Amino acid sequence: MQDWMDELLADLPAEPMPQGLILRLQARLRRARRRELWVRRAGRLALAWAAGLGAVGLWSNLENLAGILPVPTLAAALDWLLQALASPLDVLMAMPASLVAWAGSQGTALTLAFALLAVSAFFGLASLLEDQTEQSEVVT
Amino acid sequence: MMRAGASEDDALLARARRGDEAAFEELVLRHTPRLFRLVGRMAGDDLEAEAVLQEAWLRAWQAMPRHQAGRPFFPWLARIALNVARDRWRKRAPLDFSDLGPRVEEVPDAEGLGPEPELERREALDRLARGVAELRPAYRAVIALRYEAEMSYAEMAEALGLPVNTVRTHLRRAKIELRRRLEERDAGLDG
Repeated sequence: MQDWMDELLADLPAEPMPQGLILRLQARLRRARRRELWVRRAGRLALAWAAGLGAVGLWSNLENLAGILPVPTLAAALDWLLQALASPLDVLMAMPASLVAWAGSQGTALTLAFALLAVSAFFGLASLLEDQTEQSEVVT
Repeated sequence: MMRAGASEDDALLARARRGDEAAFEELVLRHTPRLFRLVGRMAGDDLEAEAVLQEAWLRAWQAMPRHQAGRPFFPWLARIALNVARDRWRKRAPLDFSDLGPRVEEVPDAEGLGPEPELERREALDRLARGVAELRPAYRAVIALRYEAEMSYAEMAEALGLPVNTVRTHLRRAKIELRRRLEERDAGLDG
């Protein structure tokens, strides 16, 4: 139910909108969009460089790769699978330690090459998933 | 007052999500006057209001993918602006809707407010504007949402993230508080 205060409140004096406000808002948004675009491009360039360095590192150690990459036998693979099914948490907890031990047994350059490739692949995949999620949100 | 239809806002948002910058700028053009009236009443200062609006539109653009198509755009935008205001004024003037007075059942009915005092309308408006400026930020916000942004109770509820009945109660409390301050001032002037 309206009263005298409703009527007055609806008619309160207010400061006029500052001149050029909308233009300033739009300009700031344009700057923010450009900044975000440059950050994305810089990020992707950095990833490409990391992947490239990793690939170069691997290539220069190609002849040493044989015997480095662990190729399990069928029996070992089945054994691992059974352990994973029986105690998934234990297997998961042991994986980082195994990875660190394996990396430690390799040369620094090779380890770095693998690390660069892994990091660039991880962030590249994350970026791809983020883009796909945004697109699916647009559709809904 | 004619406002941009919901379907027009949806169409602009859809285009903006696809990278159409002009579409988002059209939304800025359409909704900034109303948003400025809302924020301006809360901020009480043009520079601060502009700063809040800058940040609000920036956040709106970043959060655009999360806006559900079909939901009213302005209440969503108003909610962002309120969050910006709350973040900016956290220390100097906390904006908190969780503690606005006694329990709902204890609030007297707004019909208890008396008739307009015998004042020139302009003087009454000035006094009322000063009274609103002195209210706590949360009360100023509900008054600004209702009377400056001309939002319905449902829209206010969406902007505040509160049930409609709670919004009605908050507004009633705000008006009662405003009336109390005006009467106190009158009593002070009368000596």
